[in-house]
Amino acid sequence: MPSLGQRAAHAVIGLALSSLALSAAPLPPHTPGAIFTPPAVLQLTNLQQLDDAEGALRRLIWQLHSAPALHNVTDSRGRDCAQDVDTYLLSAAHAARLEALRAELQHESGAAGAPALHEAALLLQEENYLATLVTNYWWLQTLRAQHEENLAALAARAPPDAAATVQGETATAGERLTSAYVAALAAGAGAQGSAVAALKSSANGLFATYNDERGALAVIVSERARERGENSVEQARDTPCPAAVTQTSGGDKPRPAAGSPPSVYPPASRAAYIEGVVVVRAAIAASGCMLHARVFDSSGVPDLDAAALAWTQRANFSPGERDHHAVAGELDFRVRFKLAQ
Amino acid sequence: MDRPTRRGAYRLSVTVCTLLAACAIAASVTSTAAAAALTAELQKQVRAATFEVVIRKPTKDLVTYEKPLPLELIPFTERNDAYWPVGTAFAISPNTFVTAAHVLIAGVGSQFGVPGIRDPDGKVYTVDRVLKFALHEDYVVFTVSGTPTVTPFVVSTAVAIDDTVFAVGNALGEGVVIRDGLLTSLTPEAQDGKWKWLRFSAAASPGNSGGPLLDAQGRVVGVVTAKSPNENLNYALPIEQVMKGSDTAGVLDKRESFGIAKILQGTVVGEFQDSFPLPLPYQDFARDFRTALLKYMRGAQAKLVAAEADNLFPHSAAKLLATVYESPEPTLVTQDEDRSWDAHSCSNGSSTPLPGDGSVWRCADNPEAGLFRIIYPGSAADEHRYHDSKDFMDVLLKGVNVPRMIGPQAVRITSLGAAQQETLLHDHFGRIWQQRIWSLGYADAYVAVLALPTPDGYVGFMSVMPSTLLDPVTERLRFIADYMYLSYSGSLPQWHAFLERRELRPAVFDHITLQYENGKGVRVDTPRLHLDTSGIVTASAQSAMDLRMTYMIDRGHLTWDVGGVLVREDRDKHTFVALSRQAKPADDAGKERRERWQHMTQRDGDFAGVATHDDQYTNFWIRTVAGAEHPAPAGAESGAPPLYEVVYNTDNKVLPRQMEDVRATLVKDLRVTE
Repeated sequence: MPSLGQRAAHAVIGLALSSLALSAAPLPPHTPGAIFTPPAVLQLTNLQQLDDAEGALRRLIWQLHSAPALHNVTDSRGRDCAQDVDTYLLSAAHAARLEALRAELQHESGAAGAPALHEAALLLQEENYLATLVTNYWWLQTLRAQHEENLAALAARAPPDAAATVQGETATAGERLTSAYVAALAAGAGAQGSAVAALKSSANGLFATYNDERGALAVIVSERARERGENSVEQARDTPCPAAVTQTSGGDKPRPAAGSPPSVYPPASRAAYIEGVVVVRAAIAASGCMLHARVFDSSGVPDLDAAALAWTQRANFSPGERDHHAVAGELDFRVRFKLAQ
Repeated sequence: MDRPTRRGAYRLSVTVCTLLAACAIAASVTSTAAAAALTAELQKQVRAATFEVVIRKPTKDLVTYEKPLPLELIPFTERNDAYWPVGTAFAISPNTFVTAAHVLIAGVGSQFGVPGIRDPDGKVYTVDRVLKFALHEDYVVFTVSGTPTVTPFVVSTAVAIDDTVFAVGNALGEGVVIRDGLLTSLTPEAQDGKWKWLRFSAAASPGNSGGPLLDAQGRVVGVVTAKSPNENLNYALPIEQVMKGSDTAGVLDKRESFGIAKILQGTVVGEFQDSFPLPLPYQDFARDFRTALLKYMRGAQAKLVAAEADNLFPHSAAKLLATVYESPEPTLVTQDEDRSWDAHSCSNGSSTPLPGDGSVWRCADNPEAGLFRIIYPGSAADEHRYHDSKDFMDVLLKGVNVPRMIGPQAVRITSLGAAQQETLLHDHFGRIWQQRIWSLGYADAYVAVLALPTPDGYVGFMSVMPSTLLDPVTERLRFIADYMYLSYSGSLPQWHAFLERRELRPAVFDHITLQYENGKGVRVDTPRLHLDTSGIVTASAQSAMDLRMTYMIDRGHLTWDVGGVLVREDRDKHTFVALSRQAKPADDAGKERRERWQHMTQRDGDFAGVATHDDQYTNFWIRTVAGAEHPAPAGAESGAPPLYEVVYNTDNKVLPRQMEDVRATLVKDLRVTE
């Protein structure tokens, strides 16, 4: 069962390593829904292949059951991964049927065994499908837990009504994903395509909701902080100023200049589908040298804010101009962390 | 000790050896060039007064060997001699003979009758009466039956350093030879300085012991007793000591360091001080000597135990008392250098497979008492195995090689026949040992075994010793028996038979019941726990059970009881449920053990009851903890009731949910009542 085997290795190596370091996980596709790839069609030509396929499935079940990253994560039904594994994968009926088919195949060889092999393949194909759903759904749930953590930290500093609204939105989106997942688990062979499409869409919707709602709440929190005079910490330039820039921005304000390196997306955030926009306020000398900068509007994600400031340190700026002379000034600009679709 | 090596390859008890003699004259040396010579007349007289001391050889060999013995490799005279030469004796009057005490004692306990003296014509006169005996001075004076032709030596007490002397004796069993040298010094006896040894440079060889040391006129000045280990300065007792020695009492007066090597660290000074009236017929003398020796051994052991009372097990045994070892092989509980006690597994063990699936395992760590374990092939109970000493030893010999040396060839022994003696012994913990003794006639030695029946075979100790040492060595084995640590294992039918065999199993099993039915579970009830494996481990003829024993302080008393139960579905498979008792560790126990106890009480860490697996996904297990719902109030050590570690392991194809079911069933079907 190559598809499941690869899938298992892919997902589970990530799971096994990920309790402390999710960044070590293989980079998933850039939309959450894309990880629900239906398994390839399974064909079995002999008993050994059946044993291998079932062995891979059993290993996956044990891996999922004891993966550290999946511990202590529950979904909107209040269930955890181990419970779903026990309920949906290799049910007692399926295990018994496989055992019966194996017994049959031990006595039948060649063409006589073909019907049993075919039935076993269909059965394992179904298991593959379920395993893909369970594996990836629970993987997304561990990622969702990170979003939840960011959001909770932000909500503690936000106006209670605004926080409640945002948490309501994300909870609803979470329930939608769970419903789509439960429906996909129950879908018959003919309905699996549309069920997976719905699942993908709700997965994308869930993470988009987190990103959007958190971003909006972060702006509110940043504004409130500024109103109270609690400006974020200013970060001074960490290298000597380069040679003076001759070209000014043409306006009275400084502007970002061409030739800056691209910003670096923090891998852990990227792997968890965490997107955001950071507004940075930077002081630019008349020479075009960035003197210091701070986060003006937070993304609500400390890693993204830090990455934006780090980029500011390396970026090029053109100074503003007054009376044909370059002048120092302050500049607000956005750093976006957005995953490709 | 003057003991011809050809009498067999056995290992002496070091203690007893040093006790009985100075382990004298152990290697031959070549004589220095002759500085003087006895006249031909004197030589003739010397030969007429000097005799070999001999012990009769067995007339029939009861031992069975792997192949016909290559007897042609034994030197001609030895091969055809009906006697073993063990030393030399000489006449001081027409029927009064002298030899070294250790020479005569070599024959005490001999399986083949009374030692004797042999004249140059080969005629043997057996020892009749013992007139004088002193163990420490190392002489004996005796008469013989019959009337050998004798010209007794003249005795002289006038000796001076640098006098020419002659050592006369049955050197190397080659008949009487005379070798010359000088009287070099007088050395005070080491123990109390009561007399001075004559030290001389005349050569002495194995067999010289008990021979006369003569002056230039052919008069006896001493009794040759011992050889100096690394130089040609041999020892003789001044004949004066013999002449003035008591003729009304045999005297034993010897000190040694006494200990139980490999078990106890402590030692005491053993004082072998005793006496018995003389003269006595030889057989009565031999009896009295053996009695005195055994009395000494027991007294010294008692003295050692009393001196070490505060160090003896179970003092300083916290780890052992809180651990149920899983060792399948028997081990000894021994004292470490820091005086703490623990069970150490054998560092020098080896196993020999028996046809089928049985084996004989042995441990060479302690040569005085070799540990062994027999597992009989098959899983059926076989009653006759426990009542057939010949069968027992035949099986043991498949794994333990006691070769007979014929020249350079080691010939394996395959059978010793039935045991000559068989007795039952009860040790401190109520275990019943079968003490069995076989003759190793060709060496005038015994093989002694203390064997503890187990459901699947035996465990025990084996020791080989010269006949003289039978009593002390078996006494030592009995002491060591208290220190054996073992698990009991066997198939369910073997267990059933074992529990029924009341006369051969410890009383601690009186209150253990075992119920099983093929295809269903196994039910084990002990006073401490109740286990039913229904739905977890299914009984069959191949199923096996281990009861792991442990020491514990129960209501203030050292107790030996079942501390662990392991029920295995199949001898060869890895589906089993195992319970292991854990007493609360003492406050000063190691960090690891205290943390483990903490995890057990909190059911976390390793004891969280989470099903897990090995890297290959072939072995699956779940571990949890059971304790009494209502622990006995007058509870055990440290006030806290013990807990039981519970492990279920399987190499069947299982899913996590099935392991969860097992856990739920286990908790339901396991009851701890202490």
